[in-house]
Amino acid sequence: MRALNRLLAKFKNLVTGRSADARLREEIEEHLAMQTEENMRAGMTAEEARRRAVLKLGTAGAIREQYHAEEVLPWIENVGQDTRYALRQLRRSPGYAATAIVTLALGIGANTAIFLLTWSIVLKSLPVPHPEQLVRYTFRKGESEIGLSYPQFEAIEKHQGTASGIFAWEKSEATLRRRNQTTKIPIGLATGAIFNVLELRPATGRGFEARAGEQGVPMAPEALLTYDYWQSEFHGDQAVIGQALNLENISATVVGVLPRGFEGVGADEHIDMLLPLSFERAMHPKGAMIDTSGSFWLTVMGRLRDGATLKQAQANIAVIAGQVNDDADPKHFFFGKGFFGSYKIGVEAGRGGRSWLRWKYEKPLLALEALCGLMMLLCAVNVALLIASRVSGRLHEFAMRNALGASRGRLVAQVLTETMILGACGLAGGASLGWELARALVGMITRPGEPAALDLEAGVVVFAFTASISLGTALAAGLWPAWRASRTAPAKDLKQTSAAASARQLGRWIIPAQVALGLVLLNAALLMAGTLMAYLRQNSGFNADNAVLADLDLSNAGVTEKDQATRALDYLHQVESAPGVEAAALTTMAPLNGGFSVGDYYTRDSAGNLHVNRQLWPESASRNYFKVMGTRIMEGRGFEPADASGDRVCILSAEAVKFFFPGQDAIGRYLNAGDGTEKPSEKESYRVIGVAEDAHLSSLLDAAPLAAYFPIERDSGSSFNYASIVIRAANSGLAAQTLRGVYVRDFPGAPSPRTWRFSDAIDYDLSRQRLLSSVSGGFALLALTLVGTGLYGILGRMVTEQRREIGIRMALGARRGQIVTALARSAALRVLIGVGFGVALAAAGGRFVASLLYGVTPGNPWVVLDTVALLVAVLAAAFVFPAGRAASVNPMEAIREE
Amino acid sequence: MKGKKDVQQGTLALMVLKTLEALGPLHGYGIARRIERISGDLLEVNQGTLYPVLLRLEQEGAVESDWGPSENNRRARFYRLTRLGRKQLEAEKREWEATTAIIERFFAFKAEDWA
Repeated sequence: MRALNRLLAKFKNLVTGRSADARLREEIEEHLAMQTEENMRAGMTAEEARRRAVLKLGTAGAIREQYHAEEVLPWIENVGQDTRYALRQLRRSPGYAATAIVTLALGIGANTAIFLLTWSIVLKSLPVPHPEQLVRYTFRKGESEIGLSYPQFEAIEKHQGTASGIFAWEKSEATLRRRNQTTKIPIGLATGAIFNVLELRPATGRGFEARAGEQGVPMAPEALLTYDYWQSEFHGDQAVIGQALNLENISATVVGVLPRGFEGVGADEHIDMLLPLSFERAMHPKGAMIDTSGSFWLTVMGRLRDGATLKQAQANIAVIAGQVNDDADPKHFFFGKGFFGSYKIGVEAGRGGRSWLRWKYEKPLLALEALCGLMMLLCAVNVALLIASRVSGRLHEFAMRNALGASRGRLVAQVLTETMILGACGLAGGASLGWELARALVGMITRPGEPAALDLEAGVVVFAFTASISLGTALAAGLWPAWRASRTAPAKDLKQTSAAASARQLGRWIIPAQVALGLVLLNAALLMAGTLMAYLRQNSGFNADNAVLADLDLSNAGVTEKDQATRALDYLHQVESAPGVEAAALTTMAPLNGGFSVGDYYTRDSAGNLHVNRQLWPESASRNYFKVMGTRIMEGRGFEPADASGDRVCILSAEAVKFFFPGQDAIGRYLNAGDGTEKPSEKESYRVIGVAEDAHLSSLLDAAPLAAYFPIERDSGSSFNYASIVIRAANSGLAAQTLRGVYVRDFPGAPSPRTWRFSDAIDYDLSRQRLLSSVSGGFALLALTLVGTGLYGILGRMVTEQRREIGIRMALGARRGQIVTALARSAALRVLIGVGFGVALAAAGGRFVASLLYGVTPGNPWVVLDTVALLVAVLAAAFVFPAGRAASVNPMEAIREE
Repeated sequence: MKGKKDVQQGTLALMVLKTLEALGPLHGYGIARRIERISGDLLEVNQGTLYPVLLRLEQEGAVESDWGPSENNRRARFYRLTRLGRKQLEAEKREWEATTAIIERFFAFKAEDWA
């Protein structure tokens, strides 16, 4: 209580700036007067009485200081004073302040950006209670993972013994018709157990029944809105409960609102509505995935029972895997020897849910985090160098203050205050820079033509991270110089105007550290760039940088299924005849669009041998496909109008020809559908009319698949539910405009299609490599700048400090060349040490990024050589100017100075 | 200085409070003189140190102060004990007595008593 009273009073004084100094002075004066009078009464002279009174009172200055210390909080006042002083000092040397702040801001910005992504994609948990108890069931082969089939989900639910409950989930899209508007909204489909397993408590209304959405349970068309969607579309109106919504022409009743923050089971999912899983059957009446055992589409998650561990769950799933396979695929059509035979079910931690972004970017982001750490270290070293040179320039001042009675602590505090101000400015700059950078990176990992793949949120964690690295770096950078400042020896430092040894001293550890860090960063950048180049340099089988593509989804365009082909071809002709369009084509599976296509095909050679391939990529395309996509026809011919009717024909890729017709001419021979066990009917045979070059249809990262192209016009029965159109026009803006414009005219009321440039699809396909190479490239540029300016700064100061020495040596007969050689030798030694450490560090780190590389290997001597050569070139450039200054020292002037 | 004792700050605060309790409102000089007088001039207060102590007590709420006319009709700052100060004095007095009692018992202790 007493202490609190005092603190409040002191604080009040501090804030109001009120001081009782005048009062004290008056009291003391009064005190002295009374004492003097008394002394005089005792018989002293007036002068003596006054003198004795003053003596008895004690030193007025000390009393006032003590009094003042009681009055306010001295340390806060000191901080205030130090801050004001530091700001004044920084204003006086804006160049120094700006350099330090920019260096810090760049480092902090990079760290913030990468951490924002790492946090959102890798680290963040689902916003549900106890996410650490969640597990996720997987179906994967090595790195590649696919979803689970519904029968697999059912079998796991039946056999597993470690989770208290499991649910199945799929993110989808549905067409919503509301107030005469048709929109596509992202929806989640789930079994009712999701509410128990994730402990979702609806913000209002209720959740699903426990077994809702499962097979064998009648589908109740009920929907829950996400909180955000409820707020934005229904203004948080309670009356929405019980309303019927038209989804996919089905009337679904809104029964509740999901808890705030829950928008799906992955960082990249933002649904607007949750529906029962069996709603999928209503959406796809023909070939619903929920009814098949060959659709691997579901995310399956569960919550461990109390006390159960992930290890137990993994042991459990290993035991039941066989049973699950038998139940889910009794005939072993897909498993066993089937296409998915080498996929295994497993279980892993489900804290973050299932995120495709995490799967794709976890490793690159962790690698970038490591580079970020090195980058920050390099920034810290450079800032330390800046502060150190500033401190040594001000040693005189510190020595003076020390001599006048400033304590060591106060000197350290002074330097650290200055550093912390730099850190705070760096933080402000870095945070905003980081935010922008992160947004640019999100753009890089977003599928072209779609909304941002990730909603960045600057939460407490991200802010705490950024603030702590900024202030931590500033503190680390300022600590050594501050210590140096506190160690001033007034007798020595007051006499000398600069500390002769300090630049050389600094260089001893700063140059090697900078060179080593710079080398690692540069090496990483060259490896990443090499990887990207290797992918880009390979022959993709396309030459279509200017082509523009669009989804042609006729399922919601009010077109009956039997009209779809006619309407699609009609649309194609309209687009083709639009002004400025050079060529256009339809295709069932747009290249590099994330989909893939496989089928069974065979040939029988003259000796009667069967050549069966179960992984041929069948691609239906219209006549101008090859022209638009720039895939060359190497032999035979492309499609012609006549191919739309009459004989069934196909064009094979070069590799497919090698497989089906080894050593023979394929033109004129027949490719058959099926695996050769059934009798080839006429309908399933296709005469090969041409050979196309191999094209990386699914991804530039994968080998080009064996492909067969069929004329889409011939296949009038094929569904155009998910086709694409590709066009080549005078410019891509016009192309996209034409695609959308004609679409809106042809299919009034249907949502406008997504369009994208093929070059964007390539960028997106390589987004992982682009992310890595652009970020590490940026780091490398920054690192080269920092290492270069660092060396420049140190050598420059060395030359300044040794002017006299150089002058004397010249006077004693040293030639300019010898002076430069001596300087070069001392720099080269340090650089060499740095290169040694750097190469070792890069080699050690290389192993961790090996899996991210393609076409280059971490230990590749040429890459190492390139790295060192580039670094040395920059260092040499940084050496030239200081060396020139050293050589141009005029001995007479240098000696006479002082 | 010989034969005279320095006073520690905490003790000084206690003396100030006691003086104000016994004599009512006083100015700084008065307090200093009384303390010296009571201690039989054995304690010499470094008079200046009194003022920071008074300020501290005032901030703690143990004393109040105001300007008033002194004996020779000049302006002096008078300090007065508050209710809080009285309570604080009581508490510290008890504490002091307890401490001295313990110390006394230790001095009365003889080696034989350990047996």
